[in-house]
Amino acid sequence: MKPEIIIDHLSKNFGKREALRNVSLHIQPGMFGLLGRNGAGKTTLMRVLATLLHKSGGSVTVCGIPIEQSKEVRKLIGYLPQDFSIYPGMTVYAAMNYLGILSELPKAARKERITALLKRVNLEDCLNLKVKALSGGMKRRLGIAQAILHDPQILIVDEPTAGLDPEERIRFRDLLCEIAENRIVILSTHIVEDIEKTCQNIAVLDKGQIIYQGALQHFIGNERGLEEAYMKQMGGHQR
Amino acid sequence: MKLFLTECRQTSKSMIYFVFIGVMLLFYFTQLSDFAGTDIAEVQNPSGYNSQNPLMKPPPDADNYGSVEAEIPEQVMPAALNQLLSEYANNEYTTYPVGFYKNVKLSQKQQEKVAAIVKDITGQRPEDLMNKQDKLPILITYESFKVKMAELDTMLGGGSNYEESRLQEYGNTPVTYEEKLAEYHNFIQVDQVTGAYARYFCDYMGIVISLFSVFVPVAFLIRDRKAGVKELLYSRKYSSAGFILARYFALVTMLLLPVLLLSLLPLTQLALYGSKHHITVDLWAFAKYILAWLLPTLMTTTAVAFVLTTLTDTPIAIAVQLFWSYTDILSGSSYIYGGHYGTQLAIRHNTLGNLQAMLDGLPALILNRSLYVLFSLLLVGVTIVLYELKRRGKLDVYGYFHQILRNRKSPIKADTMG
Ligand SMILES: Nc1ncnc2c1ncn2[C@@H]1O[C@H](COP(=O)(O)OP(=O)(O)OP(=O)(O)O)[C@@H](O)[C@H]1O
Ligand SMILES: [Mg+2]
Repeated sequence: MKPEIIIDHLSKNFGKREALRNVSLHIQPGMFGLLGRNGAGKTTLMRVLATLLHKSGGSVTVCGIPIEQSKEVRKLIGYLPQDFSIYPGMTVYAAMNYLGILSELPKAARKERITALLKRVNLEDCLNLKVKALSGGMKRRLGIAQAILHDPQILIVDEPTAGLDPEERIRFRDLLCEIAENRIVILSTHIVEDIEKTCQNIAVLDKGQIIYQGALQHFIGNERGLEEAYMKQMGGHQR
Repeated sequence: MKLFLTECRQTSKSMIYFVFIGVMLLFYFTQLSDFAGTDIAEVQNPSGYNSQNPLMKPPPDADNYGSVEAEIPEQVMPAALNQLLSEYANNEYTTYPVGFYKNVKLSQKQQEKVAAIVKDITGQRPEDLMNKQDKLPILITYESFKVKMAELDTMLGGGSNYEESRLQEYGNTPVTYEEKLAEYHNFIQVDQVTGAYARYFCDYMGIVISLFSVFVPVAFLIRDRKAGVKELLYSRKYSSAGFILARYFALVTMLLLPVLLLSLLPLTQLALYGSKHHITVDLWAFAKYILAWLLPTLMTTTAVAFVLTTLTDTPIAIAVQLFWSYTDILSGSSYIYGGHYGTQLAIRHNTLGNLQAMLDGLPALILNRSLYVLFSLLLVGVTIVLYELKRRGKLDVYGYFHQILRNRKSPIKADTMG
């Protein structure tokens, strides 16, 4: 079955604060960019998708499964939180192994996938290094590796490029594109450039509402680049 | 099962776990220094009969076979009265109403009533008796004395030093040769040597576990928040019940393991002694007492750590458990030789003798231990529910209070966010 996420009139309140209002999205395989400034509600939306927050209203289905069936949905989803870390005292391999156990991968599959994935994210030399000895970029790559450890249909990454140097950022983007070949990869950012180079489809979130969704090309339209289109759109919305 | 083993390995890598083992060893080698080894050495190189050493068969002609508590009116009445005079003078009455220590202070009017009771017994006011402690006049029979004491105990809220069941503590009587010989036979046949040592061992280890074991699971669980790894775990597909149970039993196992290993030391000494002197030794006694007496205590402290740390993501469980264990040990301090079980978390039996007291209190002991096992499983069940709620974002006590604190510290920032 083709991976697919359907979000219908989703809302999420924290007490009186509306973090998401009436969000409707249809997400198909490929890279999907979620753009919005600080506090727009990107993390909130992603955490609802990752079954870490219960929604206040609306409905979400992931590959046909309602989000309420969290155990089923968790099998389909890999998540890389915005601010994440892994037990600093564990070695890279041990940490992956632990998370693999929690994803209920059998021993042989764990071993095989961990080695393959660490190779894929260029960490094959760091198997026995402690997590705390990794650099920011390495840690982020380890984060991706752990998120796709159980081969999920959907990968959700929250601001994965923040704090990376330009070179690391490009490498990271390419990695995500590779992963997105037959999956859904949802990527949030407030850096326009991250999305411009990689995503076919985007949604722009502002103050908890979707103010644009659709093809990237269309959004850019006649403007010289995404950045400008974005500024214009946001400006218009604010007025 | 895989997760269980992984969590065991994780526990064994934590610093605090080794501190716990260190404390346990320290207790063993300081508090139990004159334990099995010393007794064995004394038997092999005796300098006369020692009634404290259960390995020594009592000879028929010894001067002294020790003594036991006994409700002998001529001893009980003056001793209890002396205790009362000193508590009255300070207006500080020690009680254990529901098993927990309580210091009772009486009002002027109630103090007068105490004085009246003293007067009924002796014909004089307490103030006039202060210098006659060794020859207190007692004008009433033991039966009416007991009635007065019961009245006093009620006034103090129960569980006082004058409770009927405790009056025997004020008297003691020498043990006879026949009694000592019977005790020795019990020691050899019922306890098969190791039973008595296992109880004594578990008495001290119970205190260690009650007071110190809680640190290990709290440190283990709080690591998830400190390492910022919670969301990485939450979004995976494992079941909350399996996860919590694997972690819980991993910690219980790892905490019980050093006690079991340590017990091999006296066990080996006694087993060697037994084989040398052709005495049957129960090789399983230590394991049996550890599982029956210590495991429920350990399951409880670990469960308290699990439920409170999962709920709050803070080390609050340490404070709660220390307070509970401390009051528990204080309240048990008048029953350290065993036989009284009630709600005691750490089972006391600070003697190599007194097997009979345990046998007499066996139903209460079994009830006590079973209830603690049930209680801890209940707490683990609650932990599973709490964990599942946290995972679904329906409960975040730590985040809630964190948010409040942060907003209070930087009100301006909080405003712009809204
Ligand atoms: N647990 C929470 N309790 C209360 N309010 C929250 C909580 N999480 C998020 N919010 C609020 O919801 C709104 C959206 O937050 P969210 O973290 O989703 O934004 P974001 O787009 O990810 O921002 P950033 O780019 O800074 O990561 C913000 O106003 C935030 O303060
Ligand atoms: Mg965010």
